Amino acid sequence: MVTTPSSSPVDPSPAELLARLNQARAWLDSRVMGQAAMKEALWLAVAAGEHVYLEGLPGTAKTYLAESAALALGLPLFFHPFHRDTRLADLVGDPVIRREKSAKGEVVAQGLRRGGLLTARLAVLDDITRAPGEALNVLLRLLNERQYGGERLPLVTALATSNPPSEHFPVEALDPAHMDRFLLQVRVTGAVVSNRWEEAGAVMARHGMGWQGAGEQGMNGQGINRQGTDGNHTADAPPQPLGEAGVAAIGRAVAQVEIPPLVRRAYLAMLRRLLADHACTSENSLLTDRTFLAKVPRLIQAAAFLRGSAKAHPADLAVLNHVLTFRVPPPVAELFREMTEELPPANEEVDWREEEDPGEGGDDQAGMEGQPGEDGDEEGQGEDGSEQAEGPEGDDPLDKLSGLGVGGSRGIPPAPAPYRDGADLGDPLGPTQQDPQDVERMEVLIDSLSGRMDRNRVERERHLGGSPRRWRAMRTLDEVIDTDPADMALWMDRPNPRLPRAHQREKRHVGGEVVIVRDISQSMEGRFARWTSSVIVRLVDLVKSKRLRLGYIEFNHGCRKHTLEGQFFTRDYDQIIRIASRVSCAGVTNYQMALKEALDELKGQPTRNRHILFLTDGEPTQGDWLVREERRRAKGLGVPIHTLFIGSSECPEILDTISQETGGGQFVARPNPRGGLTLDHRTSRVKAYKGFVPKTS
Amino acid sequence: MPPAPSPIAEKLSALRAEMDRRVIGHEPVKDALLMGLVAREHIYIEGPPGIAKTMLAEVASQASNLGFYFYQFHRDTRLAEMVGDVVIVREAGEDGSEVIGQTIRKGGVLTAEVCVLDDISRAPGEALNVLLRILNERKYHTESIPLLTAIATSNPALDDYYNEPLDPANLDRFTLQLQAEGLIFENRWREVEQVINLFCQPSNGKETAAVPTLLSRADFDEAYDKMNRVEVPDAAKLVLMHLLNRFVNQYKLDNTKALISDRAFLVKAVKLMKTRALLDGRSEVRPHDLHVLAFMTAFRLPPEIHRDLPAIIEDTLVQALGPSV
Repeated sequence: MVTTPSSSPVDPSPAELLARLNQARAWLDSRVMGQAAMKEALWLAVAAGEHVYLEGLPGTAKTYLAESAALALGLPLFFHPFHRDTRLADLVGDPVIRREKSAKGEVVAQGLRRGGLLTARLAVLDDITRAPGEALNVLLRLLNERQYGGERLPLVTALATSNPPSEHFPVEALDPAHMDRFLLQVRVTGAVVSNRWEEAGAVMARHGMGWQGAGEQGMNGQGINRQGTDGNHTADAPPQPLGEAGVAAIGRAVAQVEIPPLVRRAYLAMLRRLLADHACTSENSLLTDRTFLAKVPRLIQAAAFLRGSAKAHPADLAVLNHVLTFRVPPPVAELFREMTEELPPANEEVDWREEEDPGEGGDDQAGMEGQPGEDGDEEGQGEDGSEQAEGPEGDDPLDKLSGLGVGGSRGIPPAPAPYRDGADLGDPLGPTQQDPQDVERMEVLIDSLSGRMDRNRVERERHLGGSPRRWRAMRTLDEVIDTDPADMALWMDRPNPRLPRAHQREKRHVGGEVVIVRDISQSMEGRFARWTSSVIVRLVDLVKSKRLRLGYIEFNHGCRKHTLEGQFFTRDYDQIIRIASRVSCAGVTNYQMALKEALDELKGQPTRNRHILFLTDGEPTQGDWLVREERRRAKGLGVPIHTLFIGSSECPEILDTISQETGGGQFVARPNPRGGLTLDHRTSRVKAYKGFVPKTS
Repeated sequence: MPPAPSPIAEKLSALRAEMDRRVIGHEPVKDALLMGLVAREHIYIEGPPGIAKTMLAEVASQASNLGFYFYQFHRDTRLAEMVGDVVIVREAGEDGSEVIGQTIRKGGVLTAEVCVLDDISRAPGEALNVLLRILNERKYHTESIPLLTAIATSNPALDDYYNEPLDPANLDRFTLQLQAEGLIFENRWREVEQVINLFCQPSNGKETAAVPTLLSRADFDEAYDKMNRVEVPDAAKLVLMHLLNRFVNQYKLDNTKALISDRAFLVKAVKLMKTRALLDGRSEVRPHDLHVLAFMTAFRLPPEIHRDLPAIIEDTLVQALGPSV
């Protein structure tokens, strides 16, 4: 590896750089009270040249901190508040039309006047999650590769802020690939809600409340005026900012910090521990090679640099707390934090061999003996199985984890055991899904439903991020990127109030809901129930492949809606399969209530791709046999009710009526001599309701 | 530069050595990349972000002096962005009139020899379909394109990623298919340690030595030609037939559970076996080369069968040819 540093001969000494950086830090501290974690992450990011993701409630000084940091460092700032319609052009500059002379005539091409992120050193991406998930893709690539069109970006650090995704904020979580672009991640809390009263007092003092050093007393939280009176601190100027050259020099100095082998091994041991003991898997955690193998070392160097040392210390591994925030399930992050608090203080010269990081000795041995590969493979085998049971060992505080359900990291679902391996289902019906062979010609049902779901899905809606579909008049000049170039060229010759035409962008309508309604009356007991479960497994697979949300209702004379965490519609398909495999049948049949429930759930859904799959073996014996009201409602909502009749008897006419009126498919499953079911289309004996046009077409 | 008359297999193994030197671990990706380059087949890799996919492709193209193109797919992806710039041309017509027309300045996939198509599953269907058609036919309108291999990557189609899985027809265009997890989750701790050590060295990462030029386009043309002339003895054909027979009759695979297209398993599979032979410096396929099928089946066969495939293949070899093999 070539290691000649590209430091210019005039680089100040690391000590001098640090002193100047500390001045900026002190100045920032005087402007932004408290929020130690956020500040620490910020300085680490600047030193390591990495990006920060700040997630917290509104009004926790996220944006203010970033603005102040730009001032303190003397770096040009790019600020962009994200919104639903944010597009790439907003971030990289202005789209322009360029006219070039060529040998034969003239060439008109689209170009870009570079700006925004392409020219900034420090960027604030405010409310980043408000942009549609897809819009972020290119942006985050810019952040990661720091290149655009072959040219290198001068960007040092981007700070993305976001509100926590919840019912109350109209935001979506960043997807894991995007989240990984931000090496440092901080969960920001306000001083008040987290009981940091000292800090709260300081904030108020800062804002002219005159409670300097108010400490604990009198903090009843009333009369807090956050914004109104802050005129007094905008004037004070930062002391001699580092500027671009200074920050670049810091970057070079950080790269020179030495990481002793023992720190490396301690780090490796921590990583192994996350997987082996804390049940971190690729399903519930985001431990990518790029982040943890290529980027974290630089961060450790940055931590040592900020401490004023040219050599990393095990205590510097505490920076991992800022990395793990949203990458592992919250309980793991919390325990990791506790663990790092027990690291030996950095000013202590430790005999590292004796006093390895607490709670790591055991694993570390393997690392030091240089046999990690073998060892790791064994552990790997243990983890490939669905359970990660590990025996409690010693009084290591981290062993508590094995007892905790470490799932539910936000945005990263916990890993349910795959149903096919799940011997622990307690399935009273035997191995339902192991032998889907007992249902023949399943493709009849699957292909037909698949087609119908797709047909509904291709509906398009106007969407800025969609694909160009047709032409319409351009409305404002910022749509220039979507205009017809030929039209535009002509228009530029003779500008007139009629703007040239532009693409109308439309997006495929993805998403939708499916409710599976299943008869569990007495007559379904036994093999019929098993067959039905097999059919449902395949149906769920279909729904899953279309990525529709799924609801599941079982009915006999009553009706049981399955909800997961209070939500009826779910994408936890495996869970539905588990539920569907565990059915016991009793009672008589009442179509009405189940259909009513399904329609109630579908009613509020905004999508147009809604389906009910109705599986039964018998005539209704209770409720409104003709389900008139439900048929009417389904028609009104445009929800097709696909019916599958299972059994050897005659299919009740009412099922045909239901399907035909609502535009649903009709299927039948008959027992065959081979001891299984054979599916087929059901030929109908009911004439289609005159004049009825299914709404779904 | 290496001495001129070097057998092609040696040059290719030098390329492989260079990849090994640059990137630690990820053997299947390296194998697939080499096979893709030689056999002119496309590669689909599904895996989490940050597992050196792009870097390997870059190293391979630099060392081979091939044109490299990287494209990041996004929701706005339009075909025009991948094939160059759309421009308007205004020229004088023959009779003194002015002609205004639209044309493209070729670029992107039309001029590259190695393409990385990152996050392909995020592209809108319209753009994707045309692109895949170009990739498949290796033609744009009537002109051939110099492309050797396209490496498409995708994040797993989990709920958290706002993407959609490729549909089977599109997936089938990628002959080589891999699923990667990254060193950490694959529990490859020895390699993890090597990578950490590499990045822990002061000042590393900023500048690395330039990749040496080991091969040229002409070498790949020669390799392709040689590969096509590798002989396939009856025994090799027999084991392939046996295996396919097993898929259909023993494992009951049909089009609802697997994607067993004739194109993939009769044409491409044989091609890959030949490539394997060439890379090993042979001029004849051996029955054992059947193992390359594992590079094709990650998304064509049900996961459990793909997982067991090496054992199934071994078993097939014994069954078809007797224990002597």
